[in-house]
Amino acid sequence: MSQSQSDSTAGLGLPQVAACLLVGYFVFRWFFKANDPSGTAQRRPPPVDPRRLQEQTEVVRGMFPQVSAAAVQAELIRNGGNIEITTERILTNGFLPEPPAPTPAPVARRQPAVAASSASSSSTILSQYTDLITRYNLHSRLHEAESSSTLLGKGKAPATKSDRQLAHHNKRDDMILAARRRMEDMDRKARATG
Amino acid sequence: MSFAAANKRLLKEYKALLRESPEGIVAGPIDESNLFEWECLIQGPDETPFEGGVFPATLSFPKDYPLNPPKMKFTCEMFHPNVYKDGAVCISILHSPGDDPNQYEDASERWSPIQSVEKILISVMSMLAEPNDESGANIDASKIWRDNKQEYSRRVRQCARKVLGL
Repeated sequence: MSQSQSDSTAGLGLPQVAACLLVGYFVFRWFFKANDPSGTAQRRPPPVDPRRLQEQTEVVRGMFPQVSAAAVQAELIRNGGNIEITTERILTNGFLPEPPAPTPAPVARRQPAVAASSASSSSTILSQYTDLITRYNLHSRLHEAESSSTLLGKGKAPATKSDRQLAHHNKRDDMILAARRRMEDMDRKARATG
Repeated sequence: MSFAAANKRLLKEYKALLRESPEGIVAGPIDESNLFEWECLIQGPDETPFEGGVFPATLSFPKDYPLNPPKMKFTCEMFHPNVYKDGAVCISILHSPGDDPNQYEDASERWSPIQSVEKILISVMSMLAEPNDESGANIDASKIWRDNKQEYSRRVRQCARKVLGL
């Protein structure tokens, strides 16, 4: 009995060691692998020519002065120097995320200013909107009879530039006036019931 | 070359839209001498808080259209979860296939040259009816839309009336 026990422990010895080594190897590999992508990502910037990056940054900042140079550079490095993607991101998100600390130092100080200026600019934009009646100068047409002009029949587009423009404007103005009439009707009904 | 191609394609789409455009949509260049800047109107879908409203927006096309999508921006006050406060519209059809800032969109929903102005505007119209809560662009609007539909309707109606000068 004691013999077989010592046998089994001796027999398990080697496989256990082997198993430990194997597990150790995989753990090591796993760590190595987990580190690897970030390593390559950080090694990616060098292919970007610093002079070109500077130029591209200036181009983008010419369009969006409110975005910090550091954020633009970080985005350009991330997307491999594509100005289009960069501007797209700024336009869809309204901002670019500031890069993490290591790039230039003044970023942290500039960020609140950026937020404040973008907030104030968006609020001024909001107050600048004029309603459609004023924008397209439709006051005189507000009390016209319904569907005054359906200049073009369906099925063909006007052949000249000015006719097309006229057709487009008519369509646009009619739609606005129809909506306004409808909204006024809705108001009247609401008032009648309420 | 691509510039000429873009011009040609835009003129073609413009003519097609003049000939026959879907109900509730008007779109065309602000001035035909520049086909890359359009104005458009989208009617608020019925049976939504946007009903009865007409919402103006601009479309800015890139020089390599239709390889890349235009940018769309409402030029009126908007209260919608997927419209930024500056009016920019966040919708998958306006994102180019290679670029997925939010990492959730299906490539098939994104921009491709077989899409068109008409399809964009139809998508935006259905976006007005059914906001996408995965891509919040206006956090306030997202929250109110989720938690308080009545208040959401009230805010939207306010915008709709304002645009029409009421």
